[in-house]
Amino acid sequence: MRSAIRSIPAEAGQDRAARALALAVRGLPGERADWGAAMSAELAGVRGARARWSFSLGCARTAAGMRVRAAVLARDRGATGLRASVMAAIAASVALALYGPLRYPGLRTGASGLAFAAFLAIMLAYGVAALSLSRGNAPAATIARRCGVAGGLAVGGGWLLIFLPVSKAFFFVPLAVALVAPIVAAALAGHIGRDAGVGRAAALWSGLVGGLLVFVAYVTVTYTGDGRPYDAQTVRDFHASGARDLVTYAVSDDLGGALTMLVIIPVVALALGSLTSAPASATRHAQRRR
Amino acid sequence: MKRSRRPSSQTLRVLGALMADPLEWRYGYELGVEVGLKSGSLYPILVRLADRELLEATWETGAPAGRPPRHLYRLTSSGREYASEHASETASAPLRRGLPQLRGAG
Repeated sequence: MRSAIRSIPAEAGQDRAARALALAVRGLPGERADWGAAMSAELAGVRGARARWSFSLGCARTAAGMRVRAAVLARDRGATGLRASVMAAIAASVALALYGPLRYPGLRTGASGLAFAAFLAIMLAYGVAALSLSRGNAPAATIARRCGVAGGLAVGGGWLLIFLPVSKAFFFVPLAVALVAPIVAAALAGHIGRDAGVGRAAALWSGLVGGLLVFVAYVTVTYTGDGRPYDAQTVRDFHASGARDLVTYAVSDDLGGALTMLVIIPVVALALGSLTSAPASATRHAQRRR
Repeated sequence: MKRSRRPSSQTLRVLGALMADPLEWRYGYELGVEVGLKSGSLYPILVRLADRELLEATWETGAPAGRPPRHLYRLTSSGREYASEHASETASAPLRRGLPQLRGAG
């Protein structure tokens, strides 16, 4: 976050609170853009570092609320099938998360409540991101979706090959696929769409699709096999954990891993995709100028 | 058809402050300090009031050099009617005053 704030071009006299607010209100939906400008201008009249940060962060929260609301209530949506698929995957993920404690009563602990709350927050973020990305039927949005979904299938497939109990002989191949796919998707989308934003949208689609694919498949396989295989390390960790039984421990461990991947996959995809979408877009612009 | 639901106590405080001098244009931060609301609570209220056409906003003219023009707010005629309808609740809404830390609010 700090680096993101530092990366904002500083205008004369702008401090970090102003930069943070500029970052938060950048690209607000058209009908809300004036409010972003109004909050930024108002900050210029606020004195004192503490008051400025308080004002800036409050406005950033307001801007985030505006984005969520715009994403949820937008009417100009495309990609009905993709949106429906993502929502179905989110519903399946929630159903799987609810089924776990029913099938394995040992999972019902105080910590599992917190984990479930975190999981719901992540699902909400996935839903809002998917709704936000599915706005518009412009060619750029379509390019981002197509490249993103293709990248997401590759990302998900790669991570699943790493996690599922199959041969680990070619471990580096699926890892490379999982890491390179969002880069390719973002670069391709940025190049075709001639806009780094299109590339970033494709990268985020890759992360969303890949994350949901991994979670649903991995948790399903975990339940089907009761968390098998129980290798020597799992058994040692189980004895050290004080958990009730090996099955509950193994399933709990896998669920924790799946939850972590729900966060890591889109974050990594977006980070890697953002690195490449801008140069790809710039290259296309340069080619067109020649 | 607009829904007419009871405004929150925070909204009532904002309405009360705006009704104190209904024709005067007010700055957002100044308003927030007066009613004791931080920006994260104040702006969503202002946005909602503006969406319901109860609040009008305009850009400041003649801002001093080096400072961007700020937004100014006041109630519309419907907003004044709405505030009057809830005047009794407005009067009883708790008011917290913050520490004014304004510069160049004129």
